[in-house]
Amino acid sequence: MVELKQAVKTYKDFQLSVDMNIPEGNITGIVGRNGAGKSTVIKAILGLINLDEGQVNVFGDDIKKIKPKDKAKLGVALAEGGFCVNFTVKDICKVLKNTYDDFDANAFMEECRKLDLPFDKKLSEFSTGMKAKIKVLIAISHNAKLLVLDEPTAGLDVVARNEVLDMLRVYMERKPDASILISSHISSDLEGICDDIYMIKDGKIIIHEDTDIILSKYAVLKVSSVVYDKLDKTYILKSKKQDYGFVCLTNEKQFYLENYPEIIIENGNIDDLIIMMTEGE
Amino acid sequence: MKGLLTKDFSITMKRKSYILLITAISMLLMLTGQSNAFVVGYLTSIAVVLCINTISNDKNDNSMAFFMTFPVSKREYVLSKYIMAGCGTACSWVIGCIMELVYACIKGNLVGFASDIYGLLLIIFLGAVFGAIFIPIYLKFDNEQIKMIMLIIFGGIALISVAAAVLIDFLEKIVPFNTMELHFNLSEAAVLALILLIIAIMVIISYVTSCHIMEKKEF
Repeated sequence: MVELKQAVKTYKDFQLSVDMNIPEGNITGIVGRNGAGKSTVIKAILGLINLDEGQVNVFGDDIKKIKPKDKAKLGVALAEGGFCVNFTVKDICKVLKNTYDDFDANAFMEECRKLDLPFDKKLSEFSTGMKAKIKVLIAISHNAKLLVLDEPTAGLDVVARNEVLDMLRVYMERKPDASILISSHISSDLEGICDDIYMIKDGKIIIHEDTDIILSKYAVLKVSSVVYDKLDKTYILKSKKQDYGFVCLTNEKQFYLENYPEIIIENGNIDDLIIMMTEGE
Repeated sequence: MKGLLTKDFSITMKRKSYILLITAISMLLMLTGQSNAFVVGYLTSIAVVLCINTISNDKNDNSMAFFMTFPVSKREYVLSKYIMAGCGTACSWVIGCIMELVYACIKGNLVGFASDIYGLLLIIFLGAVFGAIFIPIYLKFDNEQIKMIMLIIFGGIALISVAAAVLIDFLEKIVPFNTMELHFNLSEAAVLALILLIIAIMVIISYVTSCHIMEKKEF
């Protein structure tokens, strides 16, 4: 569905250099700290920046040569940017109706009603949660085959986040052949919805793994300095010095469970992965 | 592109109070005895800038990147702005002319209105010139830079106008000739056709430049 082949984009003090693949029917997450390059990847996929090297293929074609009829299969929610803040839901509905052949105005308005989005209120008067919901609703309003969502849950409380994620789950049930690329700072969002996760640091992919594997095989070991010195480090990806000793990230939890029953082993999650991969050595 | 035009039309209509204010000022100018061409020209130029200003709106809300994900090409986006400018010119010109016509009827001066038709037609070209100049500028520069450029352009136009008037006045004193001879004895229709050709070339160059700017633009 989406393929980034040796995509390189160089800015004054930053270089993005990535290879990625998003298969059909997949929900792919992209995580990383601020400035790691998540939004640049999304812009590259959407053809919003010109690459210095490499290529981005979407639906099998170079994004630079994508035809409007194929672009209509994209559903997009950008972290920054969307409709004019003076617009109301009714205005948005009119624009989308005149933009996408597959847009169903009645269904859109019905969804807005279900989500308690006021029809005549300006977007500038919407709460953060309402803004996030309308952005995602716009992205899924025209039966897109590929949803590209940049930080769709940023700044939302837990209830609003779940509502947004539920919208995506329902969408995937309705359109199982669709794919989603979602970037987020909130790892629990990605753990709960993504099939695989790319982790990006300084413009480069440092980990690409299935979410199930991250949750089942990755772990954090907490050991004293003495134990750390004796520890078999074959499967230690990163270590970080702490007051009490060391904290280590492994991708072979079972190995340490079997061979070091005395040490503290905590199940891995994406937060640990981000912290250890960016701060560990 | 229909979606983009709907969006721009909706944005423009959000400024109803501004549009009404400009129309009221135009009426006031008309009632104070300003020429037909001046009143219609004022209305048209403001309307064109209002339409082109939708580009600024797109930048303000960081919407341009989002609209580039719509099923339209960058060229279609550019074209939509020229269509908006064209519609703005046409609508404001028609409204201005109707206002003048009604006022002429009330005053019983239809002959005076008819004699101004040539000048009024030239106002349409003014709208086209504004569009041709400002659309690439609005696309190329950020909103703060645009304010400065607009100030320079309008200041430059004012300065050139004053300088030209002074120069003509001076030349007429030392070399007695009628400025109307500058029409080179061409008929009004021929002059109109010539202006039309020059403006068509301007608009084409402007459109190609705007497309080039958009192709290079990153979001």
